[in-house]
Parts: sequence; structure tokens; C-alpha cells
Amino acid sequence: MADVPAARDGLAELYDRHHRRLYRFALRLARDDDEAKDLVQDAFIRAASAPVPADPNAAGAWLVRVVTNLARDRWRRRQIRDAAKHLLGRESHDPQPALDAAATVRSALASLPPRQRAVIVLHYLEGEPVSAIAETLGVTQVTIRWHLSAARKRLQKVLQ
Amino acid sequence: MNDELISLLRQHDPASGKALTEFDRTRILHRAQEARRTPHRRWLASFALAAVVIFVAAIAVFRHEPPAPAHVQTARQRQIQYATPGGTRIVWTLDPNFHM
Repeated sequence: MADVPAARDGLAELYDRHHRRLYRFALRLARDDDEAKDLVQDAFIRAASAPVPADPNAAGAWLVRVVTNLARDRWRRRQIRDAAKHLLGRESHDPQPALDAAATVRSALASLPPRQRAVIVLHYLEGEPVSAIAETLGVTQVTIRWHLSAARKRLQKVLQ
Repeated sequence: MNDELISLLRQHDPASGKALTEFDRTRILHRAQEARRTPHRRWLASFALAAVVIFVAAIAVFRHEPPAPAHVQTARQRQIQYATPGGTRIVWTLDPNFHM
């Protein structure tokens, strides 16, 4: 099917169809609610001017890919900022210590690079098969399996 | 360990039971729709800025045009010099552009 920029009404339709799932996905990728909302907003702003697949399932996958890429961009910027703070000796401590299990899980997820986090979320929390995740993220199934394995090892290490 | 990990993740899913409020839902949709309307304005602003930059650069280039080269005397000036018996030296410089 042809890729077309989401027309105004089409954009509202796209939004109504996908915003719930996308917000939940963004919450699992982001550090907090505000960042998740920003990710969803930026994804739909991109959809407003970019060619979105006409097929609803493909459009959903496209939006997931956009949110993953946006999360990765933010993560990289944060890494650079943190490195700069570290160099300047102004390293700040996380004001939210891991007080409970939920916070521990969240911080464990946060320790993963965005793509690994997306793969873990899509596979274990959204129940997507490896083949579908590979298609969504535009990588091979081998890469997805590698990400799953690396993410599991990292999570186990953090959660132990 | 894998099962434990997966169960822990599902049990403490950061998205569990969460949804956008009506306010946020509407706000995000409006932002996206607004972004769809404004790209022309953004392009227009970019073109206007580029035009101003080109105009200023052109003015700067023309104002700093190199000055015309000074008149270079191509013909070699010729002189006739002689001295009087009393010791006075006389120097005639011949105008090369002089024609009868």
C-alpha cells in the first residue's frame, strides 16, 4: 500500500486508533510520564508531515519505530549531558531512590539502551513475536534475539 | 530465572493501568494537527531568512569590490641630461604621450 502523509482527518483517525497503545509503549521506554507524553506527541507531529503507511497495522509499527528512535535520541543526548556533568564534577544523584520493587524494575529497565528496552517491552510485555519485532524495528530476527539475550543478562544483573 | 524476570517485569509494568487523560489526549492531537498546518510557515520563514542572508552577503561583496588598479605607466620616460660648462645640470624629461 502507498505511504501517504496523514491527512488532517486521517491524522485524527490515526491518533484515535494508536494513541493508547503508543502511550503505554512510551511509558515503558521513558523515564517518567512527562517524557512518555513528549514521545507520543513528537511521534504524531512527525506523522503529520511524514509518509505514514496506509495499512493500520503497518502504521502502528511505524509509530512504534518512531517512538523507539525518539527515545534513543533522547537517551543519547542524556548520556552526553551526564558525561559532561561527570567531567565538570557536577554529577547529580537520582532524587528518586529505588524504594520499592516497582521503582527497582523501572530503574532496571532504564539501565537498558533504548533499543534493548524496546525489544524487551515488545516481547515480554506486549507479547510480540520476534519476527514481528524485527519487522517493526527494521532489523533482523538474529539482532532481536541478540538484544533479548543481552537485555535479559543486564536486567538479571541489575535486579539481583 | 527467565520466568522470574518476566513475571517481575509484568508485575511492575510501568504502564500498568495508565492512560492519557482527556486533557492530554486532546492537547497532543491539537499539537500534531497544528504541526500539520504550520510547515508552510516554517518553510516561508526559512526562505525569508535565506533571502536576507544572500542580500546582505551581496551588499558586503559589492561594497568591498577591489579598487581600480593605479595607473601604470607603461611607456618608459626618457630624459636628456647635460651639464653646462659652469657646472649647472639640466635634466629634460620627455613626455611620452606628447605628439606633434
